Amino acid sequence: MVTLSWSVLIGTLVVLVVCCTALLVATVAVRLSRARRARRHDERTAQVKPLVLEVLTAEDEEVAPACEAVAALPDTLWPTAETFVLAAFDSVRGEVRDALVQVLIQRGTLERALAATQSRSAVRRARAAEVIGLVGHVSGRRGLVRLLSDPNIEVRTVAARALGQIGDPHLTSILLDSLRPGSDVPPSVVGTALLGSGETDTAALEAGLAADDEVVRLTAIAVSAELLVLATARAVADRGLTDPSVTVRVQAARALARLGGAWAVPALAAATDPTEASVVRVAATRTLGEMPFPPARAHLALLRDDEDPDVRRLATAATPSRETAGGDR
Amino acid sequence: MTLGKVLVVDDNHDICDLLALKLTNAGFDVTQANDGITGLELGLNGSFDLVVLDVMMPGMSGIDVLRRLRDAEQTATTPVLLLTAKTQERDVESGFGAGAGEYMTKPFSPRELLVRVKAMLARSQS
Repeated sequence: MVTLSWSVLIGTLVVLVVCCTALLVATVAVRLSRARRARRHDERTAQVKPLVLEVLTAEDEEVAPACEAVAALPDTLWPTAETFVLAAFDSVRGEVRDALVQVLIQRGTLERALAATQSRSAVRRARAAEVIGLVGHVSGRRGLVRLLSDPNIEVRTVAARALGQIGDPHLTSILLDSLRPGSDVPPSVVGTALLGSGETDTAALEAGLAADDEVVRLTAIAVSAELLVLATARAVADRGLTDPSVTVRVQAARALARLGGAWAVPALAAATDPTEASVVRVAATRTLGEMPFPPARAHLALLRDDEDPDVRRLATAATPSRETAGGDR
Repeated sequence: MTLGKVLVVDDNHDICDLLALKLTNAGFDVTQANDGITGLELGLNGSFDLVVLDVMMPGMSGIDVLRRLRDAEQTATTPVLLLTAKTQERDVESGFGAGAGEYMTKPFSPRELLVRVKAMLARSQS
């Protein structure tokens, strides 16, 4: 009995020692491998970084030869250079960026990313969308539009963001359409992408104001106001202030502070009608208070005795004396 | 003979190197710092003609560094260019409110940055 216990104990100890040794060897091997990889990465970065910085700091006739040096990097160094260039795109714009985009296209970065949009891995598809957005070339548009219907929400979101980086006004309707029910792409991402485009398609924004989905209408109003798309201002007043959704009516009333002229005063005044929702009345009163037009002051004077304390407060703050307001009338 | 002494503070080493190289190539004597605290120490002791300052940095933000520079007598009027990814109107307002002479948003054009640095120095020397 005792002999059996000893042999079990010794056997267990031997197994433990072997396991610990194997674990130690594996840990050391992994660490050595990581250190070797890191050293190799540092060595490659040290070779690549000065060449890319040379392009990023080049001026005029220096740009082309500097780009040629980067484009001529051997295949072993190219992945490091590509990573470095793409990371720099977050911070740098201008002619040197445009020149590096051509280098990336020449070395097949865009082509590979477009191919990766068909990958079975959602992570790869998302990364591909990110790369296409960073490159920002119009030829990446079709691949990104396809990814807006990707089964993975993260991929759809990255694709929407990347489309904004391409900056094509023709994408306005496509981006607004990506807010359709079930898509789940955050409206903030689509809104930011549209703002990032800089230029938008006015007709698409107007169509967005009449869309069935409330989120689309809200985004169209927000983008119109942020980008000061004056061509949609009357549609914001006409459709937005009479929208079935209270949230949209509030957003439209506030958007008119940026978009509206004296012509918008009657529509805003109508939005302060006592039958209207309180939040809409408050938003319209606030906007009227920010307008310098006499008809706006005149209407605010009428609201100084309103039953709603918020409307009353805003109207009083905007028209400090009845005499002044009356005089304006 | 250099065009002036410039301190570049940015926690992104690559961007810091890029700014330093651009300014060095243009004839400036450039010192780099990769965090706000080091940047502040160098700024207070280095008698720089101009500071290029990133806003979002761990430890001490560029806005805090700028305020401390403005509080110190020797750096109260040193021109500071803020370089940041923050693009909102209130961010720009807070940058100028803290005493920045220029505000550039990322992504930035290195060429434009150089032009602005030169213009700021010309203004401060006139």
